[in-house]
Amino acid sequence: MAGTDLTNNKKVLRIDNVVKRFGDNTVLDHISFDVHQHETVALLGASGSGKSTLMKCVNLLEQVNDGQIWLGDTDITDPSINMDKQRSRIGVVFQQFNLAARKVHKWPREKAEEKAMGLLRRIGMDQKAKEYPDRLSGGQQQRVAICRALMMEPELLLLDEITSALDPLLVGEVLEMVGELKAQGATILMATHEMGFAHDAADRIVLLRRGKIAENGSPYDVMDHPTDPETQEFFAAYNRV
Amino acid sequence: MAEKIVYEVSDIERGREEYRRKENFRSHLTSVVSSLLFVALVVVVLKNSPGWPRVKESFFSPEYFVLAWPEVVSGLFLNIRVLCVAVIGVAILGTSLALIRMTTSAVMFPLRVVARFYTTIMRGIPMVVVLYLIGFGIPGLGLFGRMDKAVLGTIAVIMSYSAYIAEVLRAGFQDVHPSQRASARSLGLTQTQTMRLVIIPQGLRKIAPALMNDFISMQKDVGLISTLGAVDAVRAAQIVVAKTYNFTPYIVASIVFILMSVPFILLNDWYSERLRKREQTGGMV
Repeated sequence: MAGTDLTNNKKVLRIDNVVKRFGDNTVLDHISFDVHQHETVALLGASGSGKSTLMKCVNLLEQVNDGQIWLGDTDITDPSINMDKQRSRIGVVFQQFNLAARKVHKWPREKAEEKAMGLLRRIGMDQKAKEYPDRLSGGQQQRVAICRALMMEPELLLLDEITSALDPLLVGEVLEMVGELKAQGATILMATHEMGFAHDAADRIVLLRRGKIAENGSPYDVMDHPTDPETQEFFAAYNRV
Repeated sequence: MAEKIVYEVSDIERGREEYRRKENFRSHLTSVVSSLLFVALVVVVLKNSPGWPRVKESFFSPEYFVLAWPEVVSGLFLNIRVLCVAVIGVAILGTSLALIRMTTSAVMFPLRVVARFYTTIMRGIPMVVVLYLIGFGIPGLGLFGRMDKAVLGTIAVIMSYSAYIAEVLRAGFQDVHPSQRASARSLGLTQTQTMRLVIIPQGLRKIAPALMNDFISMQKDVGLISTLGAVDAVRAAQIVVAKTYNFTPYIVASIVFILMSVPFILLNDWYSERLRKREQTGGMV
């Protein structure tokens, strides 16, 4: 399943020559890659390599300085589009779960509840539907956050280091859920430090280094048989830990 | 000084910048037009109201404006003096109350109760009533002989505002994350050092806009000391009104108080904006 070449599928996300600067600090330097339908792409890189900034640009939380980002056939960097509408086409899960301590929804109550219960049942948490977020474990909260991201039936799921704030035991249950979503055909772009998970779950690895794309290929090519010395060093450092 | 780096920009980005510039211009234009419409509406309503000529004569008369101006401005100096003393008094009393309310030691229990009682009571009493109680009650005791009305007024302002400021300060200090206190204590800082070097500076920064807001509101409330008979800007205006049967001096008083507060309002806005910028870098939401 993982490592499958899905690059012939329809492109869901096209990142085209994206540049992002903070002042004179160029964080993303002409980044280009695509995410295809049903594909899981893992975005790897050392801290400060630009992973999170790229995620924020895709979710329109940051404005790019150059280049374009296409979601399906829409150029979402075009300033004349309705940004809220585009954002609702993308589901996002952050490192911190950010669950609101009350109900927030945009739909008629009945429809929203029915859908939410369905999603919670899928992850075996419908028993907990009446609980407040602070009474759930970190892993449960993060799984609910994923459910929330799925509520709007997004075309693309962005997962931004969703396991970084969890202890190792809880990481498993969250990653298992991501695996299930993938099996159900979700299109996922995830930034992560979980090398093992990236290796097993991702169809393609994009490695960022100092704001540029260092590698873009299958886990087999990029992680198991890297040719570039810096890439070898990067994965070797992770394996030592 | 580093040279400004010029980046090459693609046509797409240039197009987006052009679009944003146009949008920006359009929104400015819209706000100018809507402001003008609003002003026009106000003018039309005023001009067409049946009593406008009389209101204009009794509130906006140029002769009386000129007549009242020097009186009111000389009265304003009293307000400024009272304000300066009151700010210092409120800072001292307010901080003390806040710190007392935050103590945890058993010895401080009675003081804590007093501070709590004080802030509860003082925030409940209308400012004017506090002024009456202090202004006419303390001289009535006959302990201090004759006291200047302005001094009594200042004491009342300090007492009333300290209660509010104490609560704002306490909220600010308690809002500093507990981990800050924990790490300061872990470094071996004493309770007092922790407060002085870690908690208070961070807390103050958070509540600075709220404090400045209270300062601005205090600036106009010092005008209430006129109720005790001290001849400040408001009282000076009242005197002219009583002599002339024209209300323009009140407009004069309003204007001088507004002029006094504008610099601080601008300062407050500037500071809040700077805080906002520092706390969130960039971002579009």
